[in-house]
Amino acid sequence: MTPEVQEFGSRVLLLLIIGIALLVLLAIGFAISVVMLRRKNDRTRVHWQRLESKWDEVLLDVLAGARPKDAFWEIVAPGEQLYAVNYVLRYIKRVEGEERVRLQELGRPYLEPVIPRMQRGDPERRARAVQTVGEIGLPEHAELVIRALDDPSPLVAMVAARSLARKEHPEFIREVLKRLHRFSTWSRNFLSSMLAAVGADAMPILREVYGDPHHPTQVRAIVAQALGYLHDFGAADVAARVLETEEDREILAASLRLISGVGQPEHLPAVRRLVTSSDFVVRAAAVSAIGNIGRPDDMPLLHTACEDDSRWVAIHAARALRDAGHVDSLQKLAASGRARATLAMQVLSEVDL
Amino acid sequence: MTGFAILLTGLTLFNAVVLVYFVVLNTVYLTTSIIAFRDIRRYVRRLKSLDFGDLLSSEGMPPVTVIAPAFNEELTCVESVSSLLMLEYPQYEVVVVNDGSTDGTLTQLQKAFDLVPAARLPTAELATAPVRRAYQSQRRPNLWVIDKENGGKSDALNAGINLCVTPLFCAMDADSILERDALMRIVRPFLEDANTIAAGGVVRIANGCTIKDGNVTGVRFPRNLWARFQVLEYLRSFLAGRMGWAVLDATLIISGAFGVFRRNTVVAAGGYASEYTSGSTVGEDMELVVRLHRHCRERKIPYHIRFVPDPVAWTECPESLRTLARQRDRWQRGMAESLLRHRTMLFNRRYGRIGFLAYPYFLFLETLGLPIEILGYFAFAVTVVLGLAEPVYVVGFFMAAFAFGMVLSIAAVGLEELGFRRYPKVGDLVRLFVLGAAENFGYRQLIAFWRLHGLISAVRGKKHWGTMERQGFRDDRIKKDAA
Repeated sequence: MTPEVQEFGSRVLLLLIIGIALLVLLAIGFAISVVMLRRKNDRTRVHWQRLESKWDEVLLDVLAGARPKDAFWEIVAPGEQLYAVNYVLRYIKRVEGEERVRLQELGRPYLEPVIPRMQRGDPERRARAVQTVGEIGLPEHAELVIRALDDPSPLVAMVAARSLARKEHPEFIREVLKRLHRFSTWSRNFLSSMLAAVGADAMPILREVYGDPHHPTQVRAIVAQALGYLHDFGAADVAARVLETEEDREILAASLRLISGVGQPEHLPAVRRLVTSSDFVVRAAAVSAIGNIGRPDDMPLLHTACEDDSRWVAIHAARALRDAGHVDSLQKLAASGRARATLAMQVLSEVDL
Repeated sequence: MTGFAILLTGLTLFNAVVLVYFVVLNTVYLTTSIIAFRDIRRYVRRLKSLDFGDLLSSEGMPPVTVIAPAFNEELTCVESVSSLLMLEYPQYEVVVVNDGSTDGTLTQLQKAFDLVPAARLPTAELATAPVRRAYQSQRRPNLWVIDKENGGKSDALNAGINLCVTPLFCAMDADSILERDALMRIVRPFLEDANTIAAGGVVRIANGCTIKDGNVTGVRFPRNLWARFQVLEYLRSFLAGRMGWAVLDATLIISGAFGVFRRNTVVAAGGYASEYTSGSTVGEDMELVVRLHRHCRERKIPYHIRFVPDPVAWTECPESLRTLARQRDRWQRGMAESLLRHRTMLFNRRYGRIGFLAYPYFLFLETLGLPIEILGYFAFAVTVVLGLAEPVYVVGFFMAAFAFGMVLSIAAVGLEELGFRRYPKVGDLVRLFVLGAAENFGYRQLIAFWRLHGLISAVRGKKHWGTMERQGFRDDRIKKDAA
């Protein structure tokens, strides 16, 4: 073996030894970390159990009005403030009304160490802090939560929006609406549901945004759906106007769904026009609306729509006919052997989820 | 040059290739583990700020159809379907597709759920084996059973998709158990990002666990050694592998046992590959995901395919070597077939990180690397037997392989501890460490061998699924022929 080969061999061996040593160290390091993590998790669990057993009884008494709020504050040691705020947060999500207010009062003194975290650390930590302050610290700390709507992290912004969109504080909905475009990737149904959670007090503001063409159409479509969830009869007039002026599929469909839920016969002309739309999504929403608010003389439109090229339009039309009590004509279609016979059979036999 | 010298040079070169393959493969595994570590930590914190209780009561949750293909499941189908009907989700349907069972699957379901024939209009036209009839339960209106002629799992899924009226569907195995809140958790990415077209959840091993009323109530380690090894393997595969690839937005596999998809996109991409659509494959789950990538990228549709590490489907894993061998053979065949079908994606700029990262990884390291690995064992043995390598190198190489394996296994256990802690006993932690060491002595080599066999079968064009023996979640021993 030449000296060069021997030297090469020695180098390879050295590298191998270094590699093995590193891997062994890494394995030992990982193993120790896992064991320590397990111990930390166990300790945290035990600590929580201890705190819960200490706080549970007093908290329930305070909520029931059997003891003053001081009784809870007295048993929270100075080093337990963050635990206390998390503890209150857990319960606050499960209750409404008076109990919620009382829990907010109990948790408020412990918010001080949480507030700086709203603008510090990674997005997940900031989101958690915003959630805590949003649940416990409104309206006192509203400004901070509103500022979080502009946080660079979409997660933090969403948590802030959900904290602000609450029944107790309809005054903040305008701030949420201003930033709704930030959540363009989120599910529209989810956003509508979030806005609707504010309740009837939000209706005037929602109507205003919905009818204002200066707002993005996506935002207005989401707002229309929220108004539908809220069964806002006053929004039907706005919807009819929107149908006359807009061409975007999303806002048209949302407006038709809104009219379908809260519209009156006087809104029918705007709807009828869209039964022949070239867009099947709009046609489907229009036939549903006709089914809900239409007059007997609108039924031929639905009969025609039952044979629409789009199965979605056809099924909406068939359901509309069924809901309007035109079961006979559906039975005839079902027995006809025509292309949409199966659809008619399905609609006649189906039970809503 | 003498024959011996040629052999020596050849062996040395080949051993070098094996060494490079080994280092690259394990480095990728380690990298995905480290990426997954960072993301699981963030994910757990994220869950705390996005309250699931709130989401559940939200009208914004999209309706979902759970499609469960069933073939000769008469012993377990009623229990499995009952379990599906108890999921915590605001609006969902269960569509069981009886894929031409030759036993009493349909009769059992009819009896248990009071099924009556009902019309159901297809919402898509994916080609399938003939559908005989649709039934709706009179007791649970959200339960439908589609009775069709046998066409295989992907064909059954396509039949379910054709009759799916919700924007999302969940594909699963009829004999898997979804945790009660699994749907709610897996749907989250669809809420957060409207461009999400698919999301996969975690599959865990149910062997040894306590199952009550179709729900896993006690998580325990399996008694069977092979099942224990698979517990660790699944942890590595899901928490380190899939999580890591998902962070890179390069998910190529969503397990057939549990995944949620956007119906429109799957239909537009042509549904699952079956003999009635684009040709059958045993890896229909991976093939669909690869095709979805292709479909969206070719049409410049913005999309994301996600992995969510906390929704869980529990599944029974093989406990005999014979069944395990068949399963791994099939999985490898599925992967090879999927990659072969979509070979145009390899190093193609059009497919971005899929073409340059995920596809090459699965092709070169997880597929073509297998012959290198198996031949490497032989070459290594020949080198040792012929005394061509210094014993110190032999021991060193073995120790390096062992240490790398341990690092990866311990990292996976760490990920589990970091986020989910499903194995709460201290003994479980010790068992996982011991398994991480023990699997290096035979188990890994066996798996590699079976996978190579699968690869060879794929090259030969073998299509059969093989027989899957199951113990069943009840006491009854079940033999399922997944034809």
